[in-house]
Amino acid sequence: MDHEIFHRPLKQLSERKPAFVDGDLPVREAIVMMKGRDEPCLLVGTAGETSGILTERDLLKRVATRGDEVLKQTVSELMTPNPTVLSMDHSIGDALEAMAAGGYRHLPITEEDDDGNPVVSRVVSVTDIVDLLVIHFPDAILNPWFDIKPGDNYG
Amino acid sequence: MVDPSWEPSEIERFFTEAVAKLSRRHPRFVDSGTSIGEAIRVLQGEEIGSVLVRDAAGRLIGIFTERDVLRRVLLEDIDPEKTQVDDVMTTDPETLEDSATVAMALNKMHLGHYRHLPLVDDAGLPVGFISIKDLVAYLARRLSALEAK
Repeated sequence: MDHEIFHRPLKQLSERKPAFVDGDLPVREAIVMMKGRDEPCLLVGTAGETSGILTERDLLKRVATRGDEVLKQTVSELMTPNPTVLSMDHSIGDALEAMAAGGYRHLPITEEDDDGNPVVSRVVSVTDIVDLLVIHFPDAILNPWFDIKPGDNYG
Repeated sequence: MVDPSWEPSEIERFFTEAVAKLSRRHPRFVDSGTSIGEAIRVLQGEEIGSVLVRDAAGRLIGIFTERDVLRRVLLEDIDPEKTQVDDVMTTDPETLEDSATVAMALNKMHLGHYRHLPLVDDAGLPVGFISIKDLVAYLARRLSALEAK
């Protein structure tokens, strides 16, 4: 069954380490970090206690309407609190479903630390899933301009 | 060269769907010369990630996305109300024909790292757009239906 790929655990998919910031960090500093390090999102809090996620969308929603004042606010005031978090043992299909249900492009992923406590250690993005599909279904995706039908002879 | 014995699998059939069928929203346009501030208000109000920029003849000349807001507007030394969106948009964006398949959309998004692609008709005029979120929602739906069998 080729949908086995979607049953594989997330640990096979994402290698991106999340960037954590303190909730008290001014929004201006968060933007500098995201721009300078090309971070698509920031996680707020710590690996063991992640309280929110700050995305490009969060910035778009608030920054331009409120002008410079918002830059002095803290990350915790703009972030999306209590983000959906999956574990390394969830499947790639689970991540796809969670992204579709919530309209998310990034999901924090936990694994267990030495004491068995869940800590956020990765971020999986929607582009990771697209890249995976491209790698696993190259005939269908990398050559989509071939109009292939069963029985066609390409000699 | 394509293997003549190749036939699409169940998952590969996901990718042959016409992208126009799963594009959920009409594209939002702003005209060339619109201020950045106005373009941002369109993004905010419509809960969308991109607006298309067109010239007086209706031709697509650019795309302005929420990523552009972060990279080219925030903390930059520009006044969004006094600067045209033309100055910060991506010009001549990659497009897809409105007859394209999901595979073609995934292909272009993968190669170009795009999250939004305008759909254009035979004359090259923009008639829609597809976002990576639309594709994820579609794939999740198809996968769920397949696994429920």
